[in-house]
Amino acid sequence: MQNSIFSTAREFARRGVQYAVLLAVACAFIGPFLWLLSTAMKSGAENIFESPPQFIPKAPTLENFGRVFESLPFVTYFFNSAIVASVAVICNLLFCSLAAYPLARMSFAGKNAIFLILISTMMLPFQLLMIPLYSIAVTLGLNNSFFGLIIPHACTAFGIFLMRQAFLAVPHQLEESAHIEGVNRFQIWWYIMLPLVRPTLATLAVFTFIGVWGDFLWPLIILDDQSKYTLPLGVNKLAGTFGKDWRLVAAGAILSVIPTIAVFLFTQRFFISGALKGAVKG
Amino acid sequence: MTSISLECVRKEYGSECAVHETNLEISSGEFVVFVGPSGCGKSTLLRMISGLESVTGGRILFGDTDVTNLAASRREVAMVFQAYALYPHMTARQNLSFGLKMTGHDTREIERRVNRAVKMLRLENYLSRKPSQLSGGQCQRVAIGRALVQQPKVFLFDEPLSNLDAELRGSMRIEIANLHRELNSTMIYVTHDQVEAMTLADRIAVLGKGRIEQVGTPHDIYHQPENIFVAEFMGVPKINILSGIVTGNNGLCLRLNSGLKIPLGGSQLSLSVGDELSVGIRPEDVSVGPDCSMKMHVNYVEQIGASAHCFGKTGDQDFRIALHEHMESSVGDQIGILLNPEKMHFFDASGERLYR
Repeated sequence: MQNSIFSTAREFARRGVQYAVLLAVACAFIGPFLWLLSTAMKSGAENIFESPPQFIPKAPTLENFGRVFESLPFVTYFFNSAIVASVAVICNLLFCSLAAYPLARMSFAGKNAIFLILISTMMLPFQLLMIPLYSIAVTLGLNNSFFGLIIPHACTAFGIFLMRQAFLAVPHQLEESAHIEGVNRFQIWWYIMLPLVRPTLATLAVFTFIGVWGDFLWPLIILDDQSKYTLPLGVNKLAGTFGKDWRLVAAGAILSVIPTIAVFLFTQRFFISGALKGAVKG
Repeated sequence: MTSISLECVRKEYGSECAVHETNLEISSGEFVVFVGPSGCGKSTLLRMISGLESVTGGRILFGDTDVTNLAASRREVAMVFQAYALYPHMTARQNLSFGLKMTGHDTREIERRVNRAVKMLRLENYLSRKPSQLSGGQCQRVAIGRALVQQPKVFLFDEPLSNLDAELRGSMRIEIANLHRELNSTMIYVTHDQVEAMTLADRIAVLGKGRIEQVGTPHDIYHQPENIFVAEFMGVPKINILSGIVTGNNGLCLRLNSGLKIPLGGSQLSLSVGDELSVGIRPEDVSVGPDCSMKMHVNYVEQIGASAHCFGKTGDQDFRIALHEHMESSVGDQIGILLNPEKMHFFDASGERLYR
């Protein structure tokens, strides 16, 4: 009986520590976002730099969000971002999985060398590539266009790597079985391989969307025409236009991350384990 | 339905030879089972026939057509895999019809073929289920159905029952046998299970270390093994092999290393004194009696219902016997055994059968 009480207490303490650690980690991650939200909801009368800092706004207001829409063609920027991010995600999923399939499943000379070269490009920082990329884009007349914005994100080495690893995990027998049935390579890729790597496609979609949606440097370089600006450039403009009005910047930032959260919530149902359950046994 | 000819078919992986030069003729409508231990090359041989594996040398003919370099999709074969290989995101019905749809078959023709397979394999109740919602036996039946709808010239089975429990294996074995009887198609079946081989095959090809050791009817393989490998591989418990030197005082005898002498009777073999010889005798062919001069010390008894298997030693050699229901034995017993020369198999020093 006493032993049972001790073990229950020990279990209780263990769980308590676990939850405390998880809570601390969660706070560390969500804290800055909540602070941003708090700043966005503070009125102009409230000092956002007061000491000690005040987390809960004294008079919460949505006024700053309204001001964002008044101050900038926010809807235009939002749609620009949405178009660029959506097309980039579709292109990246399509081209990466097309490129990854032969690297994972076909035999040809130089396959490993090609993969190695592709992977090596992941070590090059964007800052190293942006000047030649810009030069190419200008030469091709792609500056100041959505096409120019999308192209660098349309097929990434990381995406190819991710998809290749996913294809490698699909049992060979599924492909062989289809092959014997007379199904061609493209049909196998489309009807069998892609549905089986849906969780990885969802992961790549989220990564790509976040990357493109939040991309600041490349749009800044390639775009001059303000009507083609994406949200990060718009939010930056808020900071520039209104000097030190961080409430407005925070409101713009909050508005700009909403789609990212929505995309994650939509795709998370694909992040399920056991997608290949029942495929093969043994 | 077609005949199959393997002419000097060989498979090498780098310097490793997986299948040595193999010649085999399979008649149209025949059920041939490739049997052998793991790694003997039986699945590789099957995959070469299917076209999933290229050949290093030799030719494969379906009827008179050379299919050696033909893609698997154009050979008109269907294969059932050990691990089912059902498409997990499709229902049983979609699994059955997928290949036909992709190859542009008419919808009514697809429907007709699927319905026929469903009826034959009694899949009516599972058609809307996905593979994860089916049991192993149901999955394998869908996999067989998928092969069936292709109406192939040759059915290939790669250890299709290995993942099933003993009871299901038994019933699926009967279903496959019935299927062959009904379709009368050419079927090649790979297994390491000798019971499957013996019960299903018109002919068995026993493989060992990348070579076909013997091809024959189940009866021939069991009763006329061409070498020690085949004799030992087929039969449970394993055949007893006693090796020694031929001696001859009053008639020829086999003298074992332990000094024990086994009379060879009128074996009608052209043996000379001093020859190395191995004698094989199946456990069920050993007679037991208290007056027998040869003794076996029982180390282990395996009760399997109608009979029992006794494992022990005679001299320094391992020995196995099968006892009928009315005979009893327990660990530690000394059993008198008699080897009937009529039931003996004789093998020379290289392990090849000596014919009487």
